[in-house]
Amino acid sequence: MIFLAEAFTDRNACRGSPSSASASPTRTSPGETPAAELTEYLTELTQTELAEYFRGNFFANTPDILHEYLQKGGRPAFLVRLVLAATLSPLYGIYSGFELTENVPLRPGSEEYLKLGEVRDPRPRLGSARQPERGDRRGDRIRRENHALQLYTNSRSSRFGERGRFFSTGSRRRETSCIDRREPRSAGTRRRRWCTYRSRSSASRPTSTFVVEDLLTQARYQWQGVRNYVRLDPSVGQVAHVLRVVEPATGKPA
Amino acid sequence: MSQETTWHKDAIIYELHVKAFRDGNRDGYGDFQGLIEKLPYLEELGVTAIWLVAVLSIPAARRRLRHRALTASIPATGRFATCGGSSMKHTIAHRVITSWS
Repeated sequence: MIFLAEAFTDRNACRGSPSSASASPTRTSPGETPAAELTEYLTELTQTELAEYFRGNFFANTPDILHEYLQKGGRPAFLVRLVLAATLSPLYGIYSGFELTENVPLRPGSEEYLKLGEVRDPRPRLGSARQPERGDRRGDRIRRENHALQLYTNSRSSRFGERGRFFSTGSRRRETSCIDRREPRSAGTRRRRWCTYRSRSSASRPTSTFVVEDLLTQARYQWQGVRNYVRLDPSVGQVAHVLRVVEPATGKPA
Repeated sequence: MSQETTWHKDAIIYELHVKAFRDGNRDGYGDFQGLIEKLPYLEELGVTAIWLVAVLSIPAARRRLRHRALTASIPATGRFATCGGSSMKHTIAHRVITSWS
């Protein structure tokens, strides 16, 4: 199996080299680009002929670039990136230290890690104050239990507020995730937005009322039609929603 | 298709520098012994594949050829050359990816 690191390989070479699905490129991060660019790239990856031989591998961080977004966004920024990577691609990864929110640059303005190349012993023991977020595993459980998140070419995005995007994945069961991604510091800022979500099921007809369940928190919200109110509040750990439409009559996934 | 050929389609990869990850023999450098000690930690994170950064190297002349070098013969070099990718695979049911640049 050959993986091509797109960050260091000519893009045309990436496009030309894989002759089958056995070759996969890596992508530095879905959270690294503004929402519109991410949408454009996601569309290119999954809705063109590229999807036939080129599988995007979304890395939430890389050893080479400590992006400003992670430096200034803190833990909420890390979680946003993790949710984006884990829900937009079945194949994703992290570089060592991501789970511990390592985001100290070599110097102000630098995109180099302060600790890159240093042995970080002792690694924190599970249960210590630097225990990885349990949400990390929560996302993996959601991926296992929801078929739509295991597919590659089914992601779509729509507007979420003025600059944010709302990403959705669909199959017979539908899951949606809401992300507000703008400036580096905004990851920790409370957001209230209207998002547009059009379901292929009967759930989101203009007059219909239906329920969506946040798979991260198990909270349920009543939605109506295609435009609905969404709130993100990092102060209480709510940086993203992973929403599944619930069939009103049965309480089961639509 | 079998899992042998499709595992990468839904893998969760943890990328690390062996030399910077865990010092198992207390000589000041990370090593495979340290990595093996931390496999339960990686299991707990939920990763299904481990990507070892820069374990292998290729000659500079070939490196300039970039993607063509992918098909080159790759001599293993340095302190990690004889260390245990294979033993690690036996320790846990994870995939091990190596890289060069």
